[in-house]
Amino acid sequence: MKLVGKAFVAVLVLFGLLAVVAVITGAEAPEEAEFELEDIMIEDDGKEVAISLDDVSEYVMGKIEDKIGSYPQGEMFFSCAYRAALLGISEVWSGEVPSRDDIRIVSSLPEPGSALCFQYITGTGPSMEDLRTEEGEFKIVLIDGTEVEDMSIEHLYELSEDIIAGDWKFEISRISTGETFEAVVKEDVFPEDFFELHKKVGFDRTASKKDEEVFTWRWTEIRDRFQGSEDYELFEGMEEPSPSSFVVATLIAIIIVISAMAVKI
Amino acid sequence: MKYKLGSVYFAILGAITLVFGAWEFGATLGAPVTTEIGWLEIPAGTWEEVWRGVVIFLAGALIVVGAFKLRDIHGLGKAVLGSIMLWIVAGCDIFGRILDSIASNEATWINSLDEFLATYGPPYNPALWLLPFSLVIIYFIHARRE
Repeated sequence: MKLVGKAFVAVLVLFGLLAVVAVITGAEAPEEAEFELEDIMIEDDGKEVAISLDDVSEYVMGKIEDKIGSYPQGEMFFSCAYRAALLGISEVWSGEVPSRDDIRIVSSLPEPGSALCFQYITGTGPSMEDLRTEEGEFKIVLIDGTEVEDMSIEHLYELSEDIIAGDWKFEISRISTGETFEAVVKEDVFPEDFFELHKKVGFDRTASKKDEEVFTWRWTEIRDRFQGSEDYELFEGMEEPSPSSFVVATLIAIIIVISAMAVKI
Repeated sequence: MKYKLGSVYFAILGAITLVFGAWEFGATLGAPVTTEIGWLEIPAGTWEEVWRGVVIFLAGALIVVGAFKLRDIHGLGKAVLGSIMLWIVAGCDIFGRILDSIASNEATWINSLDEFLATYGPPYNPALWLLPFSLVIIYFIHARRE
């Protein structure tokens, strides 16, 4: 009991000392670096073009609203496609700026928001004549191997009724070398009830007000993840940055010293 | 004499604790009260803070009730119980700060020295401010034994 009391006193004294040191030195934590979403850089006819998420948003949402009306959850889909393309290009071209006509993207997700985003990047989308000179390649091949021929927004919207977490796979390739990167979205990015709600609210028309409300929370949550999380949190196979060996060695040394002191007490 | 002084001391401490408890509880439930004054920060926003507010409020109530009969074992018991409730809340805060001071939110795993020290700096929440003042109860526990 005395030992426990001493330990508490020690913790309080140490806390007090550290608080005094913090006040005297005026230690301030540096502001947390916010996640910044980079532009996708490509070359079109020898000219560098920066594609931002806002550019994609304007194009995709405009096209979808023209065809099927309000589709706010589209933000979630094109945000995912944007991140997948950004990651794939950085992995395949390793810092080089790809030429638009050297990019091939194969998506497994039959859905208009993500498809239009990829079409915008590859220059294969509708009404893009004034926006690009070169064209890459884009197609949708479902996970069962079927290629989607009809790429109209209406048809893709119908196909999106039964999407599941396993559909969120995107292949980004360098046509000239055949080098390919597959971006696979982690299943835990999606809340458990998301796909059920997506079908219920968007297609079955049996959803209650509460379901619609929950669905809005869910897709905004997923959109925020795609717009504000690191690659390793979103995609399979990406590794979280690990601590340096110096930090690990220091930590182990601290643990050994504390354990030795505890044994001695 | 020391019990008279002790009664006054714990009555004041209990009243302040009561106020802080109500303040924390109210702030979390959306009452239009300020949540930061200099080095004092009233945690507000989550349900955890509602419970904290309730616990601190009840701790204050016990300390006040106990303060008026500090010489009596029952009165002292209430004041001790209230103090222990306060220590638990403050202990959780201290534990949280210790953990926060080591682990980083960034991809670097471990905080820098500045981040480590800054975790222990102000502002502090009411339980932490009240903790050292409530330790006086230990003197009365010892006095009772003697």
